[in-house]
Amino acid sequence: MNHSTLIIKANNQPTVMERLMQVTRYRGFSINKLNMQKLSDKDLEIIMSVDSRNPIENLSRQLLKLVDVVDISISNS
Amino acid sequence: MLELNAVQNNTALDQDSGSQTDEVKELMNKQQLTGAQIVMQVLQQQGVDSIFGYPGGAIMPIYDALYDSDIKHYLCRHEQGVAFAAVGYARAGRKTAVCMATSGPGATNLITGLADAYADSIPLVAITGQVPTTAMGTDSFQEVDIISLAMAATKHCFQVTCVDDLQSVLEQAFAIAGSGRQGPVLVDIPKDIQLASTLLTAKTELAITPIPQFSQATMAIAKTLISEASKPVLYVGGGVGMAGAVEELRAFAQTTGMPSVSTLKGLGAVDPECDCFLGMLGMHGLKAANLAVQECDLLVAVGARFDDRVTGKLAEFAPHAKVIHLDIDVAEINKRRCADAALIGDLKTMLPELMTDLKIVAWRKHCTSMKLDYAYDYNYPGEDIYAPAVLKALSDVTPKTAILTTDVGQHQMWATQHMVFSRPENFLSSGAIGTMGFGLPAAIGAQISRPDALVITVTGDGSIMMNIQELATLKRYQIPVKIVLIDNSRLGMVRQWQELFFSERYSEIDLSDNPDFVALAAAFEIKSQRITKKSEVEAALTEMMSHQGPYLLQISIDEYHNVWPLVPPDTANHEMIEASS
Repeated sequence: MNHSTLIIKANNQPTVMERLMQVTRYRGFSINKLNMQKLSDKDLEIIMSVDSRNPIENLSRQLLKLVDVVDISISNS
Repeated sequence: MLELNAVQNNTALDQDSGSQTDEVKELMNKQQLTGAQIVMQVLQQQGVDSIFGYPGGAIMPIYDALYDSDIKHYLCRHEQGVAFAAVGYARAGRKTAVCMATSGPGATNLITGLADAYADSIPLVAITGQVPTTAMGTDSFQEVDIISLAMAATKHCFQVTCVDDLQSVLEQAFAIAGSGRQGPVLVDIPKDIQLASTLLTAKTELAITPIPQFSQATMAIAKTLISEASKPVLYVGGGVGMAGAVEELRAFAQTTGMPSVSTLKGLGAVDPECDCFLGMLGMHGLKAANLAVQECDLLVAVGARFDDRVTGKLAEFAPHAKVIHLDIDVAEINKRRCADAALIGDLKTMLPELMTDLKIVAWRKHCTSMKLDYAYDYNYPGEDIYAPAVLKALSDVTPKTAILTTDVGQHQMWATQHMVFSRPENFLSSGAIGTMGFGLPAAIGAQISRPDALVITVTGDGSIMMNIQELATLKRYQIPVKIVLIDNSRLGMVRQWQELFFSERYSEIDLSDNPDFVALAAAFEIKSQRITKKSEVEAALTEMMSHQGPYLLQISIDEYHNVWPLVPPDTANHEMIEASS
């Protein structure tokens, strides 16, 4: 099992959290910890710890394709 | 134009003046338009001249604006037909298509078509009506949370809750649908937003995500891999056609001399006349194609994604091969098969750079020999019609410019095996999610997209009943689609699997009580005939092809005919079975 933490910068849109959760579940990752914070009226930061047998890039690359996801950094700690 | 109509309502603009001053243009740009009028305005600005849809309560203001518009609307008879017609239109014409439906069931009926478009990377903009913002979230009549439902079936979805955002959202929808790896975008517009007024503004400047630029270092590695290969294979996917890179791919195949294989959606990308084109690979792939891939020492995957129907048992797919993977979508890299060199970017740019002279005479000869050795035998004893032979005969009399659509099942696999496709945009089949009911509405959309092309749909007696109501659309618009119905009175592919893998326990596959298809066609004033004997095929095809309007040719075949070869589930592609034991 791989443990990773994603730090996601996203646009503050009503659909963005739901879509992040949907893609995470569909790609076979379970969420251990989740924190969402509004940085400004336009920007969100989401810190999400996930587990999976799949490489984390399989998730981060799918999430980065989402229109409202601006940036993702990965921490394997 | 709506813009002009709006101006005429409020000012005495002389349309015949021919030249509009900057002041008049400025004035026009300041006119109040309703949200519904904005929709029509943006569609026209995007060059949309045809749309597919079905009206209903929550989208009535948009249909009212459509009434004044030059845009041609095609009324299908079910929203799933609407979505598939749009898919056919987009694929045949290589352009973004638009479909519309009302809230609730209208919108949910679009979902299968959106999922199909998403999985096959087809650019669509779907516009749905929604209950007024004041009623949203109250379980009101025909209210469905379509955003939540569409999320997994679209590249992106928007819900417009302020009319001032509408123009920009629609422009973004077109930009997202048509850029990068293309796909469907849904725009949900509540009824009060359609009715509200706002100012039309200049077209929004959108920040388009740039196409990724491949790494020159990786390109050098990839070129080395190619030059060192002695048994390379070019594995061609649907991304080639989507990128408009058919010419670049053909030049690459010709210069390198690499034998090539194709996915279902890649068919038509490689020149079918090329003697080293081995056909489709995978579960129902051609034997030579599968064996070449299993034997190769380098696989150059171009716009393909190592789908499970292609690879068979993944761990044993192309077991000796290094992999070069070219794609516009980085998320496809290492998803199912790790690449030794991954090139992310525009295939049109990357393929010419990757071109390398190769000396692989012996390998080419081996592949062409396999192609000849394992070619199909179309001789079939008796008077019954043999589906592979009839589809080969159909292919032989079909012009290269024709468009073929299929449904899903045995007929679809036979079409891929026995027909020849000259361009990807001439072969439209539901690839990734395999949607029965695709063929007829997709053919309707394709014919509207390319009115001068001959459009044929090859379907089955299970599939055609999934969207049979679209015969009414053929009738209404006199769309001259030719329907070739391969009828075995069964859900043939399910029956085949039950025969092979479920001990001949035939569960719910009997369709022998289907309606009389000739009588059904007659009810829609569509000319048709049914044939049952091999000797009738030639004349029937001639009659169908020479008929000016829509035509249905019902071809009855034996229910026990199977599609061969077949790679059983979780089996390597070289372990295909070729006939019932």
